[in-house]
Amino acid sequence: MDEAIVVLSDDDDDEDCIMIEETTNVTAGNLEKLYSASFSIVDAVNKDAIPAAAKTWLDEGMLNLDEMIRQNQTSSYSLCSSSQENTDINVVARPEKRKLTDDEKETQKELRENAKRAREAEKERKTLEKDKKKSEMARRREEKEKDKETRKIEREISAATNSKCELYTFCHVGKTVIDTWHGLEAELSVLYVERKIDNQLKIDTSLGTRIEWRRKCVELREDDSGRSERFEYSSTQNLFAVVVPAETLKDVISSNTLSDFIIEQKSGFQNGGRCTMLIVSFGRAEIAKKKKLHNLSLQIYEQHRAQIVQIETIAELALFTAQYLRSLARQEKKKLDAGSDGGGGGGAGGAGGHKLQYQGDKGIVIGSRSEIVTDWWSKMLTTIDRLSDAQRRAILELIPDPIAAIDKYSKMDYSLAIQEIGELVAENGRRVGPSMAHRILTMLTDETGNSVVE
Amino acid sequence: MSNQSKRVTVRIEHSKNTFFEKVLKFQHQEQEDRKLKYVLHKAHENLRKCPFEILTIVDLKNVQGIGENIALKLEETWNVACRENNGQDPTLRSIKKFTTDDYRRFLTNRKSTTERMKDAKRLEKQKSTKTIVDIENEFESDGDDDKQPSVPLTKTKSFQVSKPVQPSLIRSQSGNLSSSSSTSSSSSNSSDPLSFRLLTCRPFEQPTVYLIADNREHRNNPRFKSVIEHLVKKEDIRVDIRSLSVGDYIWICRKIDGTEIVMDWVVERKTWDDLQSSIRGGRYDEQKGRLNMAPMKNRVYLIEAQHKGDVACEQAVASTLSNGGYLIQRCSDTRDTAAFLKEVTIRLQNKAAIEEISGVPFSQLQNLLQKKKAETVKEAWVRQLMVCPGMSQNRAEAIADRFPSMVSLLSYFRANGDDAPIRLLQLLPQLTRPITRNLFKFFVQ
Repeated sequence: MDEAIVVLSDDDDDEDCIMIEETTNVTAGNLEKLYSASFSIVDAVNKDAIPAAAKTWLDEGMLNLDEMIRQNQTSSYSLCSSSQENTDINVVARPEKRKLTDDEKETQKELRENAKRAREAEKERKTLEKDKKKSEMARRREEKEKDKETRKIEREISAATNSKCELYTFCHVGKTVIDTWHGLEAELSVLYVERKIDNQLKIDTSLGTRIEWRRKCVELREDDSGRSERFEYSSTQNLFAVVVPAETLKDVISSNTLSDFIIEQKSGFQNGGRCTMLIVSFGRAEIAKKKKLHNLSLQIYEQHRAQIVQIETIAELALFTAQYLRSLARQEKKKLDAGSDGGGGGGAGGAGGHKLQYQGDKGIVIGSRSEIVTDWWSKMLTTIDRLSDAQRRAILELIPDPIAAIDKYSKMDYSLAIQEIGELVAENGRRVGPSMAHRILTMLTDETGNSVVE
Repeated sequence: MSNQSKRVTVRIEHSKNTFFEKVLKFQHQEQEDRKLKYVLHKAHENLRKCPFEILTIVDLKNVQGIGENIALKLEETWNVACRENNGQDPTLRSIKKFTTDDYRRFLTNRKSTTERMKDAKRLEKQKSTKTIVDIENEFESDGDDDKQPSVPLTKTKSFQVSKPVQPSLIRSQSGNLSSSSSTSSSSSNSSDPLSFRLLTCRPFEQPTVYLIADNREHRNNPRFKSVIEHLVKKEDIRVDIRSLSVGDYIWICRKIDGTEIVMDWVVERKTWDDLQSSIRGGRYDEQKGRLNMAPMKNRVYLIEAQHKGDVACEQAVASTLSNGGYLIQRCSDTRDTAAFLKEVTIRLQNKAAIEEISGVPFSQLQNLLQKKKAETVKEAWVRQLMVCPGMSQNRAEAIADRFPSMVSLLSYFRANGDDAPIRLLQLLPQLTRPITRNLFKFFVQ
């Protein structure tokens, strides 16, 4: 059915006509619907026309149109008022509302189903994204925890080698040693507490008269699932000691059975291979004459890598164990440092570079300038090689202020300066000497820094 | 008729020693630079105290204070004097008649040949650099090679000879001396070929074991004899003094043809004071490093002291034993040390008499393990700077790179006045305000 356009004017009238038209397009799928409504007002309507009626008609029509649009219907209608005979408006009657056909119903149903499927798809997509994001966050969290755990283990490994190396090294003392020398256990306990390694002392009933040092090693390993885990094991160091009374050792030496004794003890040491054995002679007895002792030391060192250590008191024995614990604890760090220096490369580069060490106290900062200068200069002199304390004090007496000495010796003849410093006599009766005087003078007068002082 | 006795003092003078002393004295008088003047003075004094006769340039180098350069120059001066004497060695009488003009002429004529010496020295350095490449291969040698390479004969003066010299040995030694002289003479013109392989020595080659002591042996107390003085009295061992690049005492096995093989023992001697000084100055680690690189398998750390050391020293000794595997030998005094060294020497003599000895040549050992250059003022200055509170090694080195001595830093502070701490902080941002303030207070304020 074609859309009808109603002409609201006479055929003979030449007046212009204003047309009001509203069109709405509704598109669903491949179907395109056109909804339109129009209303025209002739300018020639006289003053007697009732605006309220016209308004009522228009509003009513618009409402009907909206309703029809909501109902997705297509219609064409006209307004008509027969009561107004003096008007020129020719309005046709409103068409009746028609029912939807089966095809249209099917189409609407299909549209609803499509919309539903779209909503479901969108919902599913959002769910997937949410799950993906959640799994990503979980994975990141898991990786973060793994990294944290790995770094924790690495820090522990580093601490075991560097700052806390003594806490990862243990001294195992045989029960027989503890029982033989009364007071040793107490001395050991006190010393180890003072050194804050009280948990590192172990009394072992299976060691007899031996003392061993063992190191707790921590490694980082991956399990089957790729997760890092901490692996810990104990490593016996390649050094052990056997504590023997001096009288007993003297008898062993006299009977020429020391080599057999060493072989027997080494066979019982669980860390096979190349190891060092220390025979601790405890007591004040002289185990052998000097000459024989020298020869014996050379023999057992060359053949068995064993040495004799003479200890006289319980305190010395306790200190002996603690000092070797410290040296063995630091052994790993020294190996790492030596490896990083690359000093073992065939000797082509000479000895590896050494690190400067200043083991003295730092200078004072509170006090007068003279006090500060004296203190600093005294400590500076301690850094000079082969300068004894007596010589240092003698130099301090002659040169209390190095700044003044710089001014003085810069203007003095070299020979006179050497003589003045070299002729100093220390309290022990020895002279400072020309060699040391040259070193002091060079430090005080050289400006380039390239002069050799040693 | 009365019988009276009279004391007579005999002083032995050697011609070469006297000549070198006079040359050094002349140079000392002519020299104006006070540092060089001191060096020459030191060389002269040590040469004057030298108890043995100087025969070759090697003997000259062994004198403390006379290094490579001085030895070469002295030797060349002697050669000039010989040429002026119709190729003959000047006699002691004629040397005493030399005047300052004569010495000046010798030194002047030496300049033309000194350049050739320098060229020869440079060539030797190039060959040394080339041979360093073969160091590892040399150490990897299994020593099964029976070929004996040609090794230049090195003649050195020994303190003690165990057996009386027989006429046949006199002729043999004369031949060795001639060979040594010719070798030394040729070495002055061109560098010697060096050998870098393990050498072996069998009992039938009649080896002689020598104890070599470092010529810089330290003696703490002048009231007691040194180790060398005790060793000289031992009649059944041979002792020699040389400048060693590693250790204080080593042993060499000298074959009849003059080849010297380093044996497997080395001794580092320390007193407690020396040990403390070494640790503070950093020489402790350096010495340990060189000892670890040495080919000797048996290393001895000899502690010469009457009593136990303090905790730090004992800890160092414990570390030396546990980390390096050293034999820690404690001796009470120099006499005890000499007794220990004698026992080692006798032990090695007996071993050489019945077993095959293998080792590196002595010259190779010296070249491989040369000590690092001596400490400079700048290096000492870095340690001194670390006295300042808050001064780390890195900061001290940064200051020393810009101001390499105490004098230079003092000049900077004086030049900048009161603004010096701020300027120093701008110049070296790694420093802190308290550090610059404390330094300024020490130097100027």
